[in-house]
Amino acid sequence: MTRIAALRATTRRRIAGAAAAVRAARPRTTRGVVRASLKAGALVVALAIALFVVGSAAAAFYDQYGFHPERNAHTWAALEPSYVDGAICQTCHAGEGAQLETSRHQTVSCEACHGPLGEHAADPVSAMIPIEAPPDTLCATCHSSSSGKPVGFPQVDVATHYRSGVCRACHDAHSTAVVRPPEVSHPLENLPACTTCHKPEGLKALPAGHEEAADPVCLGCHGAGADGLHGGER
Amino acid sequence: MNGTGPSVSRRGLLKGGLLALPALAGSRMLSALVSSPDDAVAAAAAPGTTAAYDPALHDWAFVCHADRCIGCGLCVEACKLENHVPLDPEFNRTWVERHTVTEDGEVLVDSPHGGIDGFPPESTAEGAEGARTKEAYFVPRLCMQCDNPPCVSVCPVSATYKSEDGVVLIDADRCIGCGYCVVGCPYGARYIVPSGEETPIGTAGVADKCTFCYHRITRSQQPACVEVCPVGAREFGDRKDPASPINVALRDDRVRVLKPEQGTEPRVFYTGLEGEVG
Repeated sequence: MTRIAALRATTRRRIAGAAAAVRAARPRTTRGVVRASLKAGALVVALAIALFVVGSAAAAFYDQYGFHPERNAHTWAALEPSYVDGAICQTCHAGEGAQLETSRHQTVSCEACHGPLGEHAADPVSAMIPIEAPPDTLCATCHSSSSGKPVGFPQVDVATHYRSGVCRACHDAHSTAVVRPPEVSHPLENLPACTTCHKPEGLKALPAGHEEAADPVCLGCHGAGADGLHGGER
Repeated sequence: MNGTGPSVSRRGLLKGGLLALPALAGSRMLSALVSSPDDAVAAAAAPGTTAAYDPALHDWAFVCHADRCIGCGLCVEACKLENHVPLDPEFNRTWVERHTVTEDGEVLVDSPHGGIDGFPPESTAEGAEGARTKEAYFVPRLCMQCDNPPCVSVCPVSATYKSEDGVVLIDADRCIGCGYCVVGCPYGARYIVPSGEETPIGTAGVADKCTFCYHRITRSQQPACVEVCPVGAREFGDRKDPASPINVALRDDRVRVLKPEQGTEPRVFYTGLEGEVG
């Protein structure tokens, strides 16, 4: 019996002790609750600040030394073009544009011959310089004959095709129309036939395709020779 | 195995994952808060030009028609002017070669000054004099913008990379000018900017190469070489745009790539080529 009583007493004491511990552990007042919350809050804020500081440092580091393909691609994309889109030229130069549309040069963009026109397009008035007519040697850039060019592409031997440097006396660059020297009677027509001397094999050969038209008209333009044989100035 | 062990560790894993989520979100918010000044610069430079450009929506490709090229060199000139490429003929982003096939089947290649001044009537290649020519044609050359680019693989500092739209670009700020990419490129498309010269965004001593005129294509313009080509020998377009003529060329013309055995998967294609070209 005494053992049982002692056991009961021990159990009661234990229960009472546990209850006391629970009461002690539990905040018993609202003040306690507030204090605990403040402590937790301060901890969270401190943690956040620490994270922010570390994070900022890491972000700055990554920003400087990290890999940013998108940003670099932006740098490339942000460069300013020098060549414009050819379509803009027709805003002012509609005449040339219309000529090109029906010509064999319709696939040739303005800037192929005139060079980069970005500045001129942005400021047509003061940036006039690039618009000056390109030299006739430019024609030879494409039309001088060389191996490797596609069959059928119009190419000439510049040295023998008429006289180099005067392409546009006959050829219009925009319309590509060929205007041959006028076939009208003129004072030189009673001279001996040009082809008497200028046979394909003799002296300076006639350009290909000129045999038919040569005699009556050729000296009109071809006469100006340094040798004076054909009367000097044409 | 009674299943308890794994289930406990799985629970632990889930717990860890759940805890990691807010941490990740927090770090993202932080990085959003701490934006760099460079970001602002990029954002300011973009509007009106390339701001609307989304590389994910494009898949650029290029077709060179060797059967149309006349070797006038206007493309080489335009490229140099547009991209501040050194005028020294040794350095080119694009160049033109003439391939002369002799009766013996030998292919002689000449490219005087990269073709910028056009070509003389006959090949200037060694051994071309007196050789009987079977045929000849011009081959425009540029960076192949490979889908499997060796230059990107060999770059030790990840300075060169592939953009989502397929263009291989170089971060000049990261490039150390080691020249591995110059050697690694099977097409010879790269060069190191010589001293005294500057690329638009880089300086001397870094690698440079064709970008498909990235500043133009992101503005819906054609690359400068395509713009000035008088015979349509260079075609450029978007494989993701059904209206782009490039798709017609790729579908209907018999196109091939240079050095297919290298496995580089170029996105520059050719028509009208004979024999081996490299």
